[in-house]
Amino acid sequence: MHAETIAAQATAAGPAALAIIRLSGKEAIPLADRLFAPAGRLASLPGRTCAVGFLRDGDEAIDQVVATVFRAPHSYTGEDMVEIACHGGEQAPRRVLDLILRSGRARLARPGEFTLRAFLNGRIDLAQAEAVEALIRARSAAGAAAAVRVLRGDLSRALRRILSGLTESLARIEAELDVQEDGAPDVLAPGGPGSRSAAETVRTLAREEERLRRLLAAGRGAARQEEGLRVVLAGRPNAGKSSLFNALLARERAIVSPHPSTTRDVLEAAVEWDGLSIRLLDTAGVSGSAGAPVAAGLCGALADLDLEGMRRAREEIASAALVVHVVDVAALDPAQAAADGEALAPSGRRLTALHKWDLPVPADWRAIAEERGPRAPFAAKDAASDARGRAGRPPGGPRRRPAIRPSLDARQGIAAGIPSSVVGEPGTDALRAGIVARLCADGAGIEEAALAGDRQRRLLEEAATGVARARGLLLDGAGGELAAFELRRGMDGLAELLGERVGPRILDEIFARFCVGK
Amino acid sequence: MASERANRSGLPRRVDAVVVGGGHAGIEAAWGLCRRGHAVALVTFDAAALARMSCNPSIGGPAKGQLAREIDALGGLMGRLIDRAGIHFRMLNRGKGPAVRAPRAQADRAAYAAEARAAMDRLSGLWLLEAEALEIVTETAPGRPPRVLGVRLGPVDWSRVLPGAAHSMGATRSPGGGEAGDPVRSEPRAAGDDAPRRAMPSPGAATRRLREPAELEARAVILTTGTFLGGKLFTGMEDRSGGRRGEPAAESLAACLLRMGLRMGRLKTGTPPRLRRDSIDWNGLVPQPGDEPPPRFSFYETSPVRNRALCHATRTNERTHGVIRGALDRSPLFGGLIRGVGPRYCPSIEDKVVRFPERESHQVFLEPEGLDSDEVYPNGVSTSLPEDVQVRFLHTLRGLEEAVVVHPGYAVEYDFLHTSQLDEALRVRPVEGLFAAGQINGTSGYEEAAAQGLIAGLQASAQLEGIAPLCLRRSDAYIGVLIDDLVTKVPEEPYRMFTSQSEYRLLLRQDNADRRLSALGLSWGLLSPEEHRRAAERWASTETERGRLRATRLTRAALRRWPPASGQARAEQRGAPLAEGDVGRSYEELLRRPAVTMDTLAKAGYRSQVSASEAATLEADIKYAGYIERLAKEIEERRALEEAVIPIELLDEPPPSLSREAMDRLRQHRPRTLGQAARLPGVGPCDVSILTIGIRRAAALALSGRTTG
Repeated sequence: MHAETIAAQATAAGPAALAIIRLSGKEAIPLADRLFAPAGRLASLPGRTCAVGFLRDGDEAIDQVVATVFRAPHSYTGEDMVEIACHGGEQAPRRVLDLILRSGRARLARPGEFTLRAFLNGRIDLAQAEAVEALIRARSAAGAAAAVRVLRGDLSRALRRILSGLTESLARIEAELDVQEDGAPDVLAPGGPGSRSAAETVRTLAREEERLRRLLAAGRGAARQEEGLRVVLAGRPNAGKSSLFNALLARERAIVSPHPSTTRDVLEAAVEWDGLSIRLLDTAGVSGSAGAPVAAGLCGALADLDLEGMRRAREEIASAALVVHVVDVAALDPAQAAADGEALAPSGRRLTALHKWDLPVPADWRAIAEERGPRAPFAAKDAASDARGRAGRPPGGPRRRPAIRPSLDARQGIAAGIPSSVVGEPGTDALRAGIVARLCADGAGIEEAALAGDRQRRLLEEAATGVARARGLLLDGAGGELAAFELRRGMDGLAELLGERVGPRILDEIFARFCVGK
Repeated sequence: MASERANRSGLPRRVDAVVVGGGHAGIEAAWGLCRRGHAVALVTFDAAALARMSCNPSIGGPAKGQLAREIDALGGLMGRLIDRAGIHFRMLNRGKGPAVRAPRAQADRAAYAAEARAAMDRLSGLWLLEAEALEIVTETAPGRPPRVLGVRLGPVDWSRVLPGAAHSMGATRSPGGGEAGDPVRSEPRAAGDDAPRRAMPSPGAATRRLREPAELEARAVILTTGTFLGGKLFTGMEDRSGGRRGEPAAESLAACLLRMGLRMGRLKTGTPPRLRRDSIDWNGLVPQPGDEPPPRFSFYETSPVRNRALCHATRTNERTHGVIRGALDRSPLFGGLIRGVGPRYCPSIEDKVVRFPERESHQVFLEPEGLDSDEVYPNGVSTSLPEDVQVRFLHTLRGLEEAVVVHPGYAVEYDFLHTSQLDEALRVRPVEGLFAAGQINGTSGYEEAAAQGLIAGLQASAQLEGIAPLCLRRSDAYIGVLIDDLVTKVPEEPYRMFTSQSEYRLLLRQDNADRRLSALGLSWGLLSPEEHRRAAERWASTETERGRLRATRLTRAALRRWPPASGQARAEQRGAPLAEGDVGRSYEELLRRPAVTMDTLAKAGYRSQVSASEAATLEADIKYAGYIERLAKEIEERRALEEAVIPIELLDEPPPSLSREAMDRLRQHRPRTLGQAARLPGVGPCDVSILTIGIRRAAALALSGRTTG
């Protein structure tokens, strides 16, 4: 049996009548018993039986609960376990869990840890192990471990840049340490030791630490995944994102105006749809394919502001669980929309809203919508519709960029788009349902993303701590070998984050990421 | 299979193991095997050149010093040899932390070889054969890898049955009969016992000349071929076959390994010219004395070590670099003649001049080759330029204006074995019974070679005896790091040990090598119980002293006596000085501060009851205490990975969901554990996850097979 006792809520968070808090490990029964009234009741229960009572925090009764006791090895994990069924919702489960953790005799379980223990204790049979393997196989075939999913684009580039700065510093420290005092060594490091002073190393470390802290503070991906799945509305300026945002929220949140680029900052709101916690984000308009500000007429500070808004929009898009590509069907033809979409985010993370569908819909869009069967692939028809699109507009027309050749993938994405409107038909219900469906269909992905986010933040924090300590040690004049130790530990975290190094916690993480059972 | 003539000459037909090569790896391998009671033939071109230092006449230095101390701690030869043959001892990096301090000694080259020879002469069960190993004889059976049967030797020029050897050679007493795997064991004896047990015959008297080729049967063969395998020497645009100056290359053996289908590659290294001592103007050169007292290498020897020579420093200058630049068209390195990859960390002087044009000068150390030697080794100017260029550039250095070159520098290119074919026991996987150690495995350096030699000898013993192999993990020793790196990294240049290669540097120190390894040395029969006991006593007294430091508290009186921070510590602003608030703190706590040392405590009136070397260990343990705890946790965390053995079936049939590259690497390197697999390039977290599940499944299958079957 594992030394540590772990606890966690086993049921999904959110509104519910009941919630279950699970405890596993040596302390599970004595600890639950101590918090339970009547006292001594749980300790005397035989395995697989339950008792009704109160959980108390000192003299205060917190909740009336049903506690089920399992005795090793006859439990899910193969260890002593207690399952406490308390009232659901936000408050009760949190207070129960807090109470348990505050005792100091149990710690919060890592994701999948119950399953991991079950596996390690031989409680999962071969078939289940095979299922795990099949899951991993499927995911690895998709080529993206959870970390990679969160770590796309900007973030991974930023991490690599930080890592390279740290590597250079480490090389300098190491060169000083490993220098042989017999002549040969003066060429160890790229620049040679002594070619840059220790002060410069300290400066580099300070710079990289600052970058890491900024990443953490920005809480991209990681921190905010916890608050809900991030769904970002993106698209060209004036495509109607803000009005759609408001409609989806059913309240006036964004400033809506008929002028392009009204939304300069990112607006956020938390919603709960069908039990899913969702963080909806409205971004400044970005022109999908070119990435340059479309409102080129703006000048000076205003343009800067606009650029800043667009930069933030891109960041949000990069870390979103789902990007809703808002297309004004009156302003874009399908080929352009497809190209925009492709530039925004990969199809696996993108849903197209065919917006302003209540206004007269251009013929090429209508053709797509009508010819598309319920599940008919768009591929068979794309050549035809493409030809139609081309024939239907004069070459070199004002809104047509001849170089556009969206991929098949992108065109299929467009064809799977969901019509929406702020007023009249079709409204936003179908879009909302579509978003939920996509998030659920990718359910494992959601879990992964959230977990990866958690892991990401932990590793980033380790990295920042390591760098800070290394810098402190150098400043204190402690040995370079100690600074190197801290720096390396920090760098290991980053390399692990980038999937370039296998961390020691891999075994835990398999089960965190590829959770079977519950 | 051995010829009748071979028998009549006194050569055995069969030994337990053959060691090919008598360098730093070869002698340690023979040592380990013989100490475990095996009959061993050590085959070398020149029996007078055992453990010859082909390049610099020194042992140790950063990371290499740690390796040498570990070899000694385990009961190997290197530390004892250098303590006897050393003439100039220093502890490098004294100004840095204890984890990167390393002993280094200049050796009297001839004395070192003589000490090595003496150690071999004292060894029971060793046959020293002066011959060329032409071929490894193997046996092939369908469906099995080829198995080593023995070695075919060229004409044996010299052979000698060493005193004490004959009685221990059970396997060879009845030619053709008996099992070689059941040798009569000789009791391991104290290595410190260096008095020969019998009068030694003079080599001449025992010389028997054999003009015929011979075959020696053995179940294990250890290759320690150094730079001799397919060796080629370059000076200027001339090249010639050779393993070292004045010595032939092993061409036949190189061809044999290729025929066996082993993957070989080429590496390159080089050595500087040697200068005549009396042609150097020593006036005005900066002398470098050894440290007093001289730091010794061996944990177990007690004979005194002495500084008996000086080193001197000089520098190259712009004129030197000008001469070199002007002659690059005559360099085999830049002229494209040399294909082998040389070490980046030990480049030739022409390499340095080309790659670092901004540097106006490089340091050169003038090291004596021996007390009675006329030759001086200029460290830092390894070169393969033509001899006339070597002379011209040397003459531009201060003190060398009229230096006479005794032997020109040269580069040597040689064959090495791709180490993906090795396992962690240094077995050459494709051929059963074949082991390799030293430069043939792509490493450089005497210490790296010796460490592998010692391990290969023990692993071959384990195989002969049918016992579990020796296991040194990365967290146990630099030797473990070295071997793990060999089997999990893809070599791009000769591998050299640096302290930065170890993630456990703060643990793997030169000062505590005996604490880490002497129990192992005892259990493998390399150390006597007495030697191990003495080591254990040292650690016990260190621990007692630690208890005293913990119990001793700073008093006001001691604070007043407290020595001011040294000038250096002040200049570096290390730590805050002690203050009134520190009164009552334990000395152990105070020692954690960078500015406080055992020396400081002594000055403040503390009387330590341990020796200087024990105090050094204690200080390191205390200063690193927090880190050592963290490392222990890390090691524990990784244990699951390091101990998870990958079943053979999983390597034969890797799960199809592995990445292409991971699959190739697994097939090529055949890692034993998940930890090794995880360190292979191209094996990512996802692959490790899949392997983990595979391992669990295999275990579950085995379990269910056992219960149902």
